[in-house]
Amino acid sequence: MSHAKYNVINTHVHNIDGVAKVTGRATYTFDVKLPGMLYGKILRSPHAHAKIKNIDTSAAMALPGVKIVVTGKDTLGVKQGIWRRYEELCDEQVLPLEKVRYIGEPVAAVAAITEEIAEAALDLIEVDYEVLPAVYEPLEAIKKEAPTIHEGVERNVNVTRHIEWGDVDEAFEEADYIREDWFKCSGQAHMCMETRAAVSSFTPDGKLTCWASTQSAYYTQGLLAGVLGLREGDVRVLAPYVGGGFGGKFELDAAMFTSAVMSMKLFKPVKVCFTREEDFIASKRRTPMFYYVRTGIKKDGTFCARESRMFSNGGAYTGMGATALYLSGFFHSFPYKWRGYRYDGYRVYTNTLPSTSMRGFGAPQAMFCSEQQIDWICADLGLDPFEVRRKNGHTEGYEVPGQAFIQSCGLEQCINEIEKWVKSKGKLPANRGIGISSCGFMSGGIFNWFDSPYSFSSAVVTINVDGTVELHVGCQDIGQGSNTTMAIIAAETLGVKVEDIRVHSGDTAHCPADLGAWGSRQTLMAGNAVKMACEDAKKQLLEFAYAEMGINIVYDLDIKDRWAHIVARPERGLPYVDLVKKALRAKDGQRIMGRGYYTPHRKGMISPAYSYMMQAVDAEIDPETGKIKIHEVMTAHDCGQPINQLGLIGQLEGAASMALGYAYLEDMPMEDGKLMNPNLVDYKVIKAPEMPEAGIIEIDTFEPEGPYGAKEAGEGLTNPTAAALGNAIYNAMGIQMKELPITPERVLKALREKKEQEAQK
Amino acid sequence: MRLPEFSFHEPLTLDQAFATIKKNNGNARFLAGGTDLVPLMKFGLETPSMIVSLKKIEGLKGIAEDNGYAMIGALTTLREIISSTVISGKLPALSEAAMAVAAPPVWNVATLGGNIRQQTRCVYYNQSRAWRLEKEPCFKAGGNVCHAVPRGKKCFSVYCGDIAPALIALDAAATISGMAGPAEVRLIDLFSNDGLSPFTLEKNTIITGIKIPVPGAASRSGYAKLRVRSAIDYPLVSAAASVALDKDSIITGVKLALSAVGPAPVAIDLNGVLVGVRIDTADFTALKDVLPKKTQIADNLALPGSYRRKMLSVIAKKAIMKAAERAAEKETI
Ligand SMILES: Cc1cc2nc3c(=O)[nH]c(=O)nc-3n(C[C@H](O)[C@H](O)[C@H](O)COP(=O)(O)OP(=O)(O)OC[C@H]3O[C@@H](n4cnc5c(N)ncnc54)[C@H](O)[C@@H]3O)c2cc1C
Ligand code: SF4
Repeated sequence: MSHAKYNVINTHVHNIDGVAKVTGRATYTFDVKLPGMLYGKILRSPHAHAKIKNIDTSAAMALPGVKIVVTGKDTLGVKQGIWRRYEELCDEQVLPLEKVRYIGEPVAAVAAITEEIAEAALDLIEVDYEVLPAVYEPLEAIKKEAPTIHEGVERNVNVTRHIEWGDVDEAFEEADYIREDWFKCSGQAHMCMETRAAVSSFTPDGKLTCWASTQSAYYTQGLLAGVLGLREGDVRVLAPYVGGGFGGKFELDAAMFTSAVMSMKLFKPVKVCFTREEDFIASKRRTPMFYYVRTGIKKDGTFCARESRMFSNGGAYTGMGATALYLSGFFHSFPYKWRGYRYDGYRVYTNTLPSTSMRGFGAPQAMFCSEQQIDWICADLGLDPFEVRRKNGHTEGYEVPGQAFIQSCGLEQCINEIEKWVKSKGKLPANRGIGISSCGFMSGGIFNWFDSPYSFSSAVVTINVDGTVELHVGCQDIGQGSNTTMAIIAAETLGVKVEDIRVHSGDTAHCPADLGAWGSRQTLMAGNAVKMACEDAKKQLLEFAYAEMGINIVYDLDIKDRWAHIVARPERGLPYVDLVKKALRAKDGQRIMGRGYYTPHRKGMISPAYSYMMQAVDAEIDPETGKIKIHEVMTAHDCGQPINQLGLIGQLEGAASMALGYAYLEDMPMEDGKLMNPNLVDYKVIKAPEMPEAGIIEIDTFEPEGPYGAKEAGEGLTNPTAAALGNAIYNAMGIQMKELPITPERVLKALREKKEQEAQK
Repeated sequence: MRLPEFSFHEPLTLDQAFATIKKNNGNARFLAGGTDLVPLMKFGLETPSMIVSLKKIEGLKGIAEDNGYAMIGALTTLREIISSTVISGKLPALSEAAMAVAAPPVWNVATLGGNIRQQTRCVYYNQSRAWRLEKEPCFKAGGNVCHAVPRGKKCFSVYCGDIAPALIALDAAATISGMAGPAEVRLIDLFSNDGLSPFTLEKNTIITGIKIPVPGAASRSGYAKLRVRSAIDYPLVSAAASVALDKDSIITGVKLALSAVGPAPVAIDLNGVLVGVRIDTADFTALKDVLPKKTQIADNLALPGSYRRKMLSVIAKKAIMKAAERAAEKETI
């Protein structure tokens, strides 16, 4: 596919806020300090399941320096949730009135003149609990005799999801070989560099300003207004810099809520920041999943049918879990064509930390099961895993029945490239193997469970007299570099340089509404809005250029590199800055302003576009200790037109570290609902020595729905890795890893079992 | 998590240090690099009323070779130990053990004395105050149960220091100074093997330095550590070994010390097991039986006790082989 030559797009652009960040000038919510500000702390439940009989706050209130203590009784008691369209899924009171459902759930909050005093006051709050029987695992919680976690929710089943197409039973009939497996996928902490944090300031005019570490200023605004009984417009949410989100920061959290409640009572600013431990125990997590997978295939490698059942550990509340349940089931079919496909997902409440969306949104779990099983089937039948994937893979123009339409798809090229790469490695030493996994991911979820009447994305561009550009977007930069991406798209479209653009984001009062940073949506959706806004502004400028230059109207005009010119005769034109000045005068001084928006229509059930990839992981296993060493990760990746080369590399490396961590290091072990490792010594994120080389092979495609042909790049890259590592271990040692994370003792156990089986034979 | 209140003192001499403690009659803790102490204070596991920094006291730093001994001041940082060619050349287990501690930024401040004198660890104990409040206090926290060994009658918290086993395998001694004056003790004798109170040192005793006999050319040492990640992580099992070979590569002596296997590092006598055989024909299977009996491994670190027990012989063998290879190299030079 050949594209127009771009001036800015697909170059190496450093993050436009990079200097502010590395020099410590960037003001994160953590850094916000206002005159008269108080410090808040949250008292949390020590019980996994208990009735709150009484809370006595008098001793805490009496402590000098304490300004307020609040409990659920001091709030409107609104049951909230991000699935606003569905009342039954709005199940979480951030300060519960009647009972607590997990260890770490907030029960009261204190604001005091110092953090130390607020912390000391927590000890003085007396909570009288009646401890209830608790249940921690979904397969236990779904039993008839299990304790009820939410009144009226039968068998603790929070949401179910059925996906089906084709005649599944008939398609299984046609299969020559059917394989069934059970898998267990673990949770994972989002581990944002910035823990949950908020500063709320309520003023006597009835308006609330809240600085928040959020993935969507607009969602935070809407959710806060809902629980506080304020008009949305009276709540201003500011999120100028956010230290990571990864899917964990677009719901209402206790920092936002308690700081706002206390500020409203005191008319003083209140700051609440989570400790790292609070972030671990009370800010939701990747959804743990049990998967049953049954796959039918013909002798020649043609996929017939797949049937899967999944039980997820929902924890105490819905969060974004309902979406994860759907997406896991949908991407479990990816990136292949199935004649018959059936998925039944059950999200089960338990008395544990709620689970929610996290980078990959249910797909990494789904791929861990699917992509390993495909390799095992290939081994069972003596088929070539590359060939089988190629044979059944999505192609351009394919329709996932009733679900999705694929416009651009570079899967086959991805498979070809990785096959070449793997072959180039030749024969590997003992105990070393390369595993592969392919997948795809959405490029912008088209869901509107929030029930927003605003367009999904919007942008406003304003051109100053000197040609500099103010770009106002609602999309949220959470460290992933979306402001830079938007600046690139704006600069390309307007024909100026990146440094001409100032991006304004993370402010609901000054920026247009946008659903925020989730579902891999910003490059495509906000990118389209920005492109449209800039085209609008450019059109206005070029109207004056026609008049000014007095040229025949059949000619096309354009601006590139700050030069407005005739496309056919680029030397004929005028400087962009002169054009702006003239246009301003002609418009009676009104600034040139362009508006753009994006709302998906008729794009199936999931997304307007899909990225594709295949990844290979080269790993070595120490047969004595079971320890894994990752040598290299190579990904062939179709993200349509890359917008920023540097951004893409950053996303790839970040995803590799997060997904490898999920695959073999990170775990959230609990005892009776209590997290055993809520600190960074015991919770094992990847450190520099473990981080392998991560390479990328770009596959060139053009996505008609994306701005300049661009698609998702970043979230989907988390999906293939655990499966590819599993396959590498299978290829190296002949053992099948069905449980995450792949720890040394699990590897040793599998090796031992294999030996025993061989001895029996 | 904020630090609790305490008074802070920076004496310039040992005498001043002891006088300060006496005068204030406080519950004192010495501060060296603070990388063990400060996290414990943040968790509310150490609640001293006074902190006495050792950093300004003269004469507690530096590395010297004197009369067949390597003398290392207790306040010497791990970075200085790692950079010393005397140590890496003649006492490689110590160099390796220091490099195996935490990660490079920690080496810059962490000290030798602080590393030896670090507290024992346990996943049920090394937790914030809020975390622990939700559970009955265990023995080490002043209570009456052990969460790691539910029917256990004592504390199985784990000594996770990397450096002590190396020093034990190298036959080191510590010079100490207390209210009663200076003394010298064998390194292994610093440990009580009691998880509640892991050290034999009298209250307010300062380790002033470490004294290591420099081995002859036929004897070399090595250190092996099992940990989850190769940075930050404490040992799950670790082993230090000194091996002496004769010119025919026959083992004439082995000293093995293990860490992260119980409340104290353990010295293991292998003279009946490995001595008198050629290193390349040595049979290590006996280690599988010998080692677990000498250790008290429970389920209280990042990976299960059953796994760590299996790893004892694997890691011990690695340390012995490293040492033997070095000794053999020296022999041929
Ligand atoms: C993230 C992290 C990872 C770590 N990983 C490891 C690891 O892998 N291996 C390992 O061994 N350690 C590890 N540690 C523990 C610790 O950092 C090291 O043991 C370090 O060497 C301690 O030295 P320090 O000078 O900082 O001790 P401090 O914290 O200053 O002191 C520790 C204790 O020793 C006492 N003390 C200090 N000096 C003396 C002295 N001269 N005489 C008497 N008492 C003294 C103090 O009062 C205190 O009780 C880790 C720590 C952290 C924070
Ligand atoms: S081993 Fe037992 S007593 Fe010792 S710290 Fe751990 S739980 Fe407490």
